[in-house]
Amino acid sequence: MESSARACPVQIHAHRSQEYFVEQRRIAIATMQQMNRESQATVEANPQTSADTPTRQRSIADGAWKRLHPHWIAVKRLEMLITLGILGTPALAGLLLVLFVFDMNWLLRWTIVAALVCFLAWRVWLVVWYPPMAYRHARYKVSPLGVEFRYGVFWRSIMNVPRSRVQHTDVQQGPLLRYYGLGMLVMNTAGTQNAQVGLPGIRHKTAMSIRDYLIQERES
Amino acid sequence: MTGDVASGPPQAVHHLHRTSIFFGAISTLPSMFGAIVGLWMWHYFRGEGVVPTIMTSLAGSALIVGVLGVIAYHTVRYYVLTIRYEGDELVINSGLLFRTQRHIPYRKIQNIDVIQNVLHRLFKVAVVKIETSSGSEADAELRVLSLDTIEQMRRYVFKDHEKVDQPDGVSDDDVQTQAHAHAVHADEREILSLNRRDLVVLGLIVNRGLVLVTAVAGLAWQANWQFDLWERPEAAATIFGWTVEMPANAFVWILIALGAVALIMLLSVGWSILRFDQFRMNLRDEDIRISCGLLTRVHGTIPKKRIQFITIHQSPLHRLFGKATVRIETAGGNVEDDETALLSRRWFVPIVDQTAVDALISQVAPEFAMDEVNWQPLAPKARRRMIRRSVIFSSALGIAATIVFWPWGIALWLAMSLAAAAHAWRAAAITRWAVTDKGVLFRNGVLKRKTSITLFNRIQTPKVIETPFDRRWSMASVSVDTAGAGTAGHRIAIRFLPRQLADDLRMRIAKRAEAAGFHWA
Repeated sequence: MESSARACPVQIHAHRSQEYFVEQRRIAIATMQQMNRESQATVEANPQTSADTPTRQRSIADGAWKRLHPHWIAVKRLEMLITLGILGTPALAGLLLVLFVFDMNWLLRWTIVAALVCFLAWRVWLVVWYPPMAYRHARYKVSPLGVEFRYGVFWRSIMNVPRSRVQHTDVQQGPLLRYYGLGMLVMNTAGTQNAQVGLPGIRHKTAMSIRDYLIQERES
Repeated sequence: MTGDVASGPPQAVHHLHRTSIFFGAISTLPSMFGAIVGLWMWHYFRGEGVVPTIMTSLAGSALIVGVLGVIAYHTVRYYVLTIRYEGDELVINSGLLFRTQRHIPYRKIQNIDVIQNVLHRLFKVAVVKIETSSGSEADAELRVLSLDTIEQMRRYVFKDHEKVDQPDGVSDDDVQTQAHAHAVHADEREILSLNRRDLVVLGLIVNRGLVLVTAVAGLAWQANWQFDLWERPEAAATIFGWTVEMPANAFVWILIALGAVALIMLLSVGWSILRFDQFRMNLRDEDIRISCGLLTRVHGTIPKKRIQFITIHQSPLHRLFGKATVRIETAGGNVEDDETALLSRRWFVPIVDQTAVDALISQVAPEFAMDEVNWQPLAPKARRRMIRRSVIFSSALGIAATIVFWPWGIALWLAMSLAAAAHAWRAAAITRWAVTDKGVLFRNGVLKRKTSITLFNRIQTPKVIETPFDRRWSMASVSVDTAGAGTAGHRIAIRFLPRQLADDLRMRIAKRAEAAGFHWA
């Protein structure tokens, strides 16, 4: 236990933090409980809404977190490889030119070499290590509330797309996604920074099912 | 007046006003200005010889053909463009070779904006922009219509929503010749009006005259770069063929500087009066109507349900005068390219008393009761983190200053670090957020204080972002997205929240947003 002289300011700070957290949790729990009561009342008043939705679509909106399809790793790797080819070729050519052709000050030469080597190493890392990391950190959930999507390895984000905010949807399939039977569901909202929210790396049929669910619930 | 609203649609097919040929032609002059100036310079600086003469003649001929073509285009447009009322739609026909027929249902028309400059008022005409709830620009722009036609259009298009109240003893002609496009209705009431004193204060606050300073500074830099005029001030004075003796007395220079400052302030006040003279904000049913302008009079309408985001701005000068500026963001409308929309969004309320802001917000967004907002602070660790971050960033500059100005740079480093720490301390104290039953509020800014409000039924996608630094501190940020973001100059992005709280907040906002629903119009 710390001495009383030092414990006092630390404990006050800790208590202040604790009070802050306790208060915020209390407000959050009270609000959630009230909203659950309201939504329960809405469901009881409108029993047809869920019954009208086909069973398959209701199973899509089970509210469970799901991973993207594992084949998405391969798709991502191939995309990064293509980008590596497009960007890496001139970088490699520049590296060879600087090392063996151009005559320049040694500090400048090795600075450019270091920068190009770092760039190439980063692109290789994006091909080999980044896709499985991105796959591990990506999840999505479809529920009566809408779609939630977690993504990002270092800068991690979680976004909610409420059902009523989906203006229209697209299901996109490039050649790589098509080869693996995958697709990307793009939800268009009326927002500005997030006018389009894409959910990549899911089975094409799943993307279509989610799209149908969102449209069905919106129309009902 | 042609057509009684109560008995049915007007039977006539309306054309643009005769002066539309003139106004259309002069509206294209600015784009031809470059060609005209280029031709003049070519003629002035060309050398002698046959080829330059032929080139000048060809260019001049092309310019004349261009001008005649513009006049011909607008003449054809005058005869071809028609407006008629068909059932419950406004039908606009345009085009000669490529014909377009546009049907705009009355119920979709959100507002009919009217713009009149000095010339328009001379001929009793105006430019009309018809906006619906969709699209990024006005659905129809009619340049120009007579005031009679505009009044008839407004009365008929909005006939299901309004009750027209014409004072006794006032003839139809008297009503029509009044230079306003907003009919005065029994249930229209004034929310805000600005007098000349308010506009003078606004001019002093926004200080638009600094634009001139920037332009002059740019010219001076260019002149010095080309002619070394700062090294030879007497050459600067003779550049236009004038000979001016540069004053050697410092007192005279101070007077010149004060005069320049006074001139800048005067220009700024002049701009304010030019743009916002006779500013009126009226509320009618669910529409907010704004009119202002000394030479070019602008009348804009903003349906309250299109307002997505409200921001209250207070710079240090605002606080000094006890004032505030309110900006809004709306759904639909390409604000940056549309002068009317820019005026009514970016300068929704150019200036208002600080004490009157809450009452104004309650008029614009009645769901909010600003005095019942329970503001929440940031996390207790947020202050420490913000101070640390600021000191690190300022130290990066401080180290460079120390190296360059050794040893006095150390003092500069210390001063920058202290200032950064003080700024971060104050920022942590000021930053607040709140979630009410109706929406989300956020306030931040040390010097330029901004408070933003949005309702749940306007929020599109709530989001939590966690950077690697956030993870170290177990913090995260919450942001919300709305339609038409940009003009308000602020976002709701609440940083430095405890991680769990950020997640709870995101879910709370998402559930409330879903429960509230969203309607475009």
